[in-house]
Amino acid sequence: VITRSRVRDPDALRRLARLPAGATAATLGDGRVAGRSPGTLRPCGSTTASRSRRTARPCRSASSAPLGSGEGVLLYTDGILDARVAGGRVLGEARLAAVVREHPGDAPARVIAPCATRSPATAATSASSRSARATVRSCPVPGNSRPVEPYLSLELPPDARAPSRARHAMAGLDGLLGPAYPDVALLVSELVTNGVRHADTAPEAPLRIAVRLADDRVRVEVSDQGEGFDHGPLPPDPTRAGGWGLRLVDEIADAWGVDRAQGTTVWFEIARAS
Amino acid sequence: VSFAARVEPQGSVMLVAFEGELDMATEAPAREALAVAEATSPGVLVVDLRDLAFMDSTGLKLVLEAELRSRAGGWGFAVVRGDGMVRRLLRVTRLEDRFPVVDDPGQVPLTRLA
Repeated sequence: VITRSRVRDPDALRRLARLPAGATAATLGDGRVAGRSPGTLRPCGSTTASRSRRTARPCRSASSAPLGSGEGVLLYTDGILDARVAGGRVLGEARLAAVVREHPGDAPARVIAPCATRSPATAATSASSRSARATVRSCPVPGNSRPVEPYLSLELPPDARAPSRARHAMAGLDGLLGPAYPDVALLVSELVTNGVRHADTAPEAPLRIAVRLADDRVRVEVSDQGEGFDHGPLPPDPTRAGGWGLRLVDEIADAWGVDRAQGTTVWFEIARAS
Repeated sequence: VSFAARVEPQGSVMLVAFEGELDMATEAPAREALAVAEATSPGVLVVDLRDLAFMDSTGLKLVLEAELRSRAGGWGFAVVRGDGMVRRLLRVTRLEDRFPVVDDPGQVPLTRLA
């Protein structure tokens, strides 16, 4: 969950509210799917206190809920939140959030390290809740919010002049983007360059660029009709000169991703002064 | 896309200065200027990025390739960074730690690097 896209927004973790022990409904998502099962999983044959009786639970219950546009699925277990850290304290959501904030690039490793002394299952049983749960929750994903109408959209032939033409088209947004403008222009150049380099499967198809403005950020999408490419940023390698484009995107953007629904769309988001 | 490259011998230093916008459209002339400078087997090759209005990862790649060739060729190598975007690029990618990056050509160490 807290792995690929860096959770720079502390509210993202607060939205990831923990289900109370024994919760059964109305806790999936942020109200959009209230009333549906939260998708709680319990070990086969385990029992749960229900009022005065103990009732056997099924091995698992399946539930489904439609995802709205801009929503993602978060998977987590309370074994992480209930893990004990140095000093015997339970990690808890606030400390987990603090750990993630401190180490946005390598959060999983840093989170796991203080928990490593106890397995999640052990930690869970020794903490306040009685059973480890795998929780499925839909919520707005930072960096993948509801689409707004493009403020600017353009189509460019995928040739060597496309990056500069895209940058110059962005120049009119200078005042709207404020200090974010140079970074946005750079990343637009990177994504358009990638689009041109990978357009060989469809050399006639134009590159499409859409710029969407929200109050707090700008989102740029660059789409081509190509087959796409390996989109992970390359690890640092002092003997290789190339491969910097997506690493810059990864370093500079607040969020980015690839959507292959139609052709290949690579998007990024950068905060802007409101 | 406006771009110009200048190759200028200054004693044992061979200065390659880029001006304008360096991206995939202007990669070829930039690469050619570096090749011209390197063909002289310079004491030190200095790539001056101060007059660039824009540079993206295409420029980073060129600079890194030139640095790799300087190691193979045995000449010194340094980059004169500009303000703003180019400076930020070199910092974000931590290339400042990889080779000498200076603010002024006068700060370039004039000895061959091992």
